[in-house]
Amino acid sequence: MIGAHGPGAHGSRPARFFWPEQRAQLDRLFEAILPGSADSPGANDVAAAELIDRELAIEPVDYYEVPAWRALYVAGLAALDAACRVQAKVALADATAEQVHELVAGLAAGQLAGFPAGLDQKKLFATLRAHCIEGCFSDPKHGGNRGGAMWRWYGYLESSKPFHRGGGAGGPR
Amino acid sequence: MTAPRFDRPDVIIVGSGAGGGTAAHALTARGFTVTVLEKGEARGAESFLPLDELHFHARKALIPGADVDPQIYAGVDGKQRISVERWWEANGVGGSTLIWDANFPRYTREDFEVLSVMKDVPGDASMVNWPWTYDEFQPYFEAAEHLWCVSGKTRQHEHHARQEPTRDGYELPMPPLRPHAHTQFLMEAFGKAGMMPYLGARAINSQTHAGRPACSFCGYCQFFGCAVNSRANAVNTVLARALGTGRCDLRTGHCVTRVVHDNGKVRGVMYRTEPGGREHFLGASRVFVSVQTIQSARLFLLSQIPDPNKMIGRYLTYHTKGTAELTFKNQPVWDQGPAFQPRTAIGSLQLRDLYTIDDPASGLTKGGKFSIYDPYTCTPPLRQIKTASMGKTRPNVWGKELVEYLRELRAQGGVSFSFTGEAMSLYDNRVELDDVVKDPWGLPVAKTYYRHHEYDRRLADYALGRVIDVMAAAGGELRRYDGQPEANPGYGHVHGSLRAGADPGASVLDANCQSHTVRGLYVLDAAFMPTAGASNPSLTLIANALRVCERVEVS
Repeated sequence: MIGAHGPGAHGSRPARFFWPEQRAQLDRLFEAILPGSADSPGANDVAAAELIDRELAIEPVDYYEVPAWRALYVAGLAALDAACRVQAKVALADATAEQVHELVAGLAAGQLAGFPAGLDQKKLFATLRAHCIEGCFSDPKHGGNRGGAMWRWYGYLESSKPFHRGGGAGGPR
Repeated sequence: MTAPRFDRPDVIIVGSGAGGGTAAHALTARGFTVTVLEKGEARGAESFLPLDELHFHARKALIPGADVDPQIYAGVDGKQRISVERWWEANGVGGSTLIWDANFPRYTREDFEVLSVMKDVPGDASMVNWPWTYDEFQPYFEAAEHLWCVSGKTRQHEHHARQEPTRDGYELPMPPLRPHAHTQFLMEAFGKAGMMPYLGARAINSQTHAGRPACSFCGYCQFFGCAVNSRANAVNTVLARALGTGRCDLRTGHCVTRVVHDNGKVRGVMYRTEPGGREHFLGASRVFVSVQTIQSARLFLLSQIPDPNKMIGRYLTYHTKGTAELTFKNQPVWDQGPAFQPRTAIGSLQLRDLYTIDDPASGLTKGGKFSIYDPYTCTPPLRQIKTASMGKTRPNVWGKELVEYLRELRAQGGVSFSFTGEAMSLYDNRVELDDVVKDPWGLPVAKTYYRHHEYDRRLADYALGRVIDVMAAAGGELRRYDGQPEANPGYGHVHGSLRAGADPGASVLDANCQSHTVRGLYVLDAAFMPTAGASNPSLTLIANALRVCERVEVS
């Protein structure tokens, strides 16, 4: 089991669960689930993966599904990286948006070849999708929805505002 | 006032939610001493802050965890072992009234006398008339609506036959909650189809009332505690009254493990105050059980209540349900800004035009009702967006389709329909004790067997189809569609399993909701309901609790 790392409670920033390469893989997957554009924020515009990265690192665990999620992510990211290397001939962290989209489409359909038998592809997809949405639309205090940029564009707790990638009044901050 | 502690109360009440809390009030008002045993802890409104959808809803801070306290579902074939999270059961003083929607319609004559409506009862279903009439319940509905501080308005249309009938001159204690901005659009659209939505009754303050403020439309309703006490719950209504009498002994952290009885009479209960701790006895000549339908049936089974006709746990019903969501390309989003726009989990329009169905081609006669809301302003974002769909065959979209869904949601008017419908009562739909899993208190958890009848599934599709047709004529395009699957692992509208009836051979409880086989043992949650009915059940179970408590004889 890969455990929590980073400065944590004794440092200046929260502990993270994923190693940098895993986090890069997760960022790619989340951006495929909610892609951004010049005028609408995507998962990476608001650091959506930050929420689950922090939550999985919290000790003691304060939600009962966390141990199962930890195991699912460690096995699932490795399996998706392997599947990407077979399908697109490239590591997941280096894949293009189109290549990651194809990978996620295969996962959502439960049709990725060579996936470990013990890993339920549809369940893994559902977990990724749910956590991506949580990372985009939860209170920014949990790490995702950076600066409240997704709420501002969507129009939650305030009237919706235009989004301009790269900053500006409605962009990430 | 010092909280009383009774060594032998007149009545023991198990559970402090809608039924138990109401009984505590009704009985203490009559002079009885009561001890209320509640498994959970007491929470004040401040404990529901800060408003946080992830914490309270996605991470389910107020409900039992499925890892240690699940319910087991046997699947439609009865052979599965599916561990189910009981999202409809909150532990704590006030029970599930802490997290409910406070949607307060009455059951009506069509529910009490279902056989007068249903001419086509399927041969394998057991649909029965209730042993009471709507008219008999009317005084208790009125008392319940005032006791629980319901907002709304009776007789809203000149032709108001589709709204719940009320006595001439009768009115609810408060006017309706502020209408949603989509109200006029929907009234006109349904009006063209000869249908009449109306502003629904909600146990939510529309103005300052009974020392509690008006709703602030924060949007954190169903699944959340009300942080300002504008939504009624058992704590801020009936339990407050009961405790004020000095005759109510409310004990938290008390898990009742079984009802004690012998020679056909109740003697009291056994309880634990900590998991693994020893059992204690509390005696009383009357025990009122109200811990939600499935848990009440489970307590009957744990207590080995005599059951000569094999009826305990049987005829469990979940309402037939269904959801349809549409978007209107030519209609700007209904958002007047947070300062103006009502944001509650369920908008205030209700539609009962399909409560009975007069369409021979459908093969259906008993239908149900809709709650109508705006997905954008009425539902917090996580819950709403996780169900993002782009049509009947494209559920749970992601990628460009999810972006398209979000663009529509924030810019275009939308509407969502939540259907509550009649369900066929089947003997095999039941509660048993699981023989493997035990809860933290060491008791076998409930195991349910449930499949929806084909009637239920056709009803959901028919009713959803009717409102979709009306909305399509107004320019709506379907986005989300959830009919009623055959399987049902669990749902908040849950009834039956301890059927009440006049015939001891065909029911568990008598017409006063007292056990046929153990005198002095009563049930006050929705387990008593002989059939499901077709409206949100809380008001009717509360009215029934008032009715039952009025009839309890002084020793």
